[in-house]
Amino acid sequence: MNTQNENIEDITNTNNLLTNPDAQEGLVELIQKLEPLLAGRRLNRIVDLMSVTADVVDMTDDYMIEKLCKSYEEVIGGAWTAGNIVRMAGNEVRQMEEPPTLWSLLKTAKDPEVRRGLAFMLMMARGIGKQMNQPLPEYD
Amino acid sequence: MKKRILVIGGGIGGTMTANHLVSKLYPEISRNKVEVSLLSNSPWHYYKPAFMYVAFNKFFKDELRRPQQSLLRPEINFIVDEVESFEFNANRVRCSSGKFYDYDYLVISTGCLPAPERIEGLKEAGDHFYQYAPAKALAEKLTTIKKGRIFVTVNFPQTPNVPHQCGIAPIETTLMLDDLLRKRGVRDKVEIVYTYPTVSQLLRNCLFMQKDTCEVLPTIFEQRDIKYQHGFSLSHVDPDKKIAYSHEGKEENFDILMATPPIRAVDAVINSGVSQAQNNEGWLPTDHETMEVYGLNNVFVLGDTVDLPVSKAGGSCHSQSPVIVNNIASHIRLGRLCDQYDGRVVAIAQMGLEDGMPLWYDYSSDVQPTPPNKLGGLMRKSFNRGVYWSVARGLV
Ligand SMILES: Cc1cc2nc3c(=O)[nH]c(=O)nc-3n(C[C@H](O)[C@H](O)[C@H](O)COP(=O)(O)OP(=O)(O)OC[C@H]3O[C@@H](n4cnc5c(N)ncnc54)[C@H](O)[C@@H]3O)c2cc1C
Repeated sequence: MNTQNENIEDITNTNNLLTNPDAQEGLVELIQKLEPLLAGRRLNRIVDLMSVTADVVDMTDDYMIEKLCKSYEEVIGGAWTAGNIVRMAGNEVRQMEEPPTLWSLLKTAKDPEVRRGLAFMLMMARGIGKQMNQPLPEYD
Repeated sequence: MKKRILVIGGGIGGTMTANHLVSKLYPEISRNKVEVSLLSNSPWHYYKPAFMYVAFNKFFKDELRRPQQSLLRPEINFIVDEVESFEFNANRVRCSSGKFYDYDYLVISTGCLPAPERIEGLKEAGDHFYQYAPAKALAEKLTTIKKGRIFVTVNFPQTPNVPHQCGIAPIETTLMLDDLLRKRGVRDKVEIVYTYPTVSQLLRNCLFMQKDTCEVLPTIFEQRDIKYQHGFSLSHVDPDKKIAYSHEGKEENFDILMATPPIRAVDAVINSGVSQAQNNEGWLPTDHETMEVYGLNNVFVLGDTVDLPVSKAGGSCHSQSPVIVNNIASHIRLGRLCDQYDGRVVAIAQMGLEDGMPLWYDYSSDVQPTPPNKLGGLMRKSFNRGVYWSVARGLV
């Protein structure tokens, strides 16, 4: 305890921090600001925040980081892929002078990439169906 | 040959493990080399800790459960059926539908059941919050009691060094009880007595199963005028006279007996014949590092069914599950196990209706209690209402 006091004194002496009138004025201002926070116990919340942050740091382990990073990659990867596709498709559509006729729309399905895309949509429908293949459990 | 991984139990341990297995083994699953199935006897997934809140009117039934299928990755084959027997020699389970399910790897996460009937008179006279219906019945009593004595008892399994379910729950609920009765304006007319048995895992004559927490409890209880006694191991209850008797020879009257009841594994696990636990409790002999069941091949266990000294808590499943996932993945890919559980348990204790206390411990260090605060309480509330479902989906 003593050593700590001496250290603080040392520091204040060498830097002349608390003898500097500007610093003193700043400190008074700070204390005035803190006063109502202390009185209303709101400063406690800041200490609680620090304590909870420290807890979160200590509670986090490698497994959690791995799962969070995986979720992050999946979300970002999914959004990135979807964004690219929307941008490319938008660009193509905007370059069309006239909206395609029903017939020319059907003809686009000749393109194997379009067919693959359509297959993808259908597979998505299958996935959605599988996710819902259990009837909703009965509410009791 | 396709490897079949079968997970039994759609509680927190089984659900997070099945989801995590799919994400870990995706390269094999996408090439049809691995298949993950989850078998549970209920189409619902219950957030069990919320039963505790039901006793304090803080949760409705449909807020604490979700359809199991909605929590599973679509690659998982979800089956609703009940395992009746484990046929370890034949690498299969037999279900009540009469069907058999084969496996190459088995993960058991069938939890535990409260067994108040194992103490004479407790089922008739006691209350608890470890399942939905009893918690709802307790809520009725706690909402209407105007005066009298609420007596809290905690019962440990008889298997040495195995804890009761969710270690901190009796303290959490005692503090919540104090807050509820104060809110209702009847606290001065209702006495709360918290008790703890003589033997609690490795400790003797304490108020909690870990020493540091024991030491702060008297102050917390005294601040709230909660009476406390150690050395009360419930032996039997007289439902007519409303008296609880202890093995130590004490007699205590009560108006409400809020008891953490004895617990046991589910029938299929008890009847598997693998358990060496006392009193027919059924805990599976668990390798405390690899999470394998001793004496069996490629069978892993986690959560409330293990015989380890760590808390029977979701916060334990959260650290045990990735070890099992890594071990199955490395066994498939490298032919050996690669990960060890260090006994880690993480949780945010609900200390009264508003405050929370994050905590963690492992095989080598105990919980270091910190002052509970409102921010911790907000963290716990957001976990209850939202984060839990991401944890079950294996995202956190
Ligand atoms: C009131 C209360 C408060 C709690 N508080 C906390 C807390 O604050 N923090 C914390 O971390 N933990 C807490 N817990 C503990 C936590 O809920 C459990 O430790 C956790 O649910 C255990 O997970 P599990 O997967 O082992 O079993 P469970 O979650 O119990 O799941 C078992 C699953 O197996 C299924 N099943 C059972 N038998 C069979 C069978 N024969 N065939 C097929 N399926 C079967 C069941 O339907 C269920 O889906 C609390 C528990 C309770 C009851």
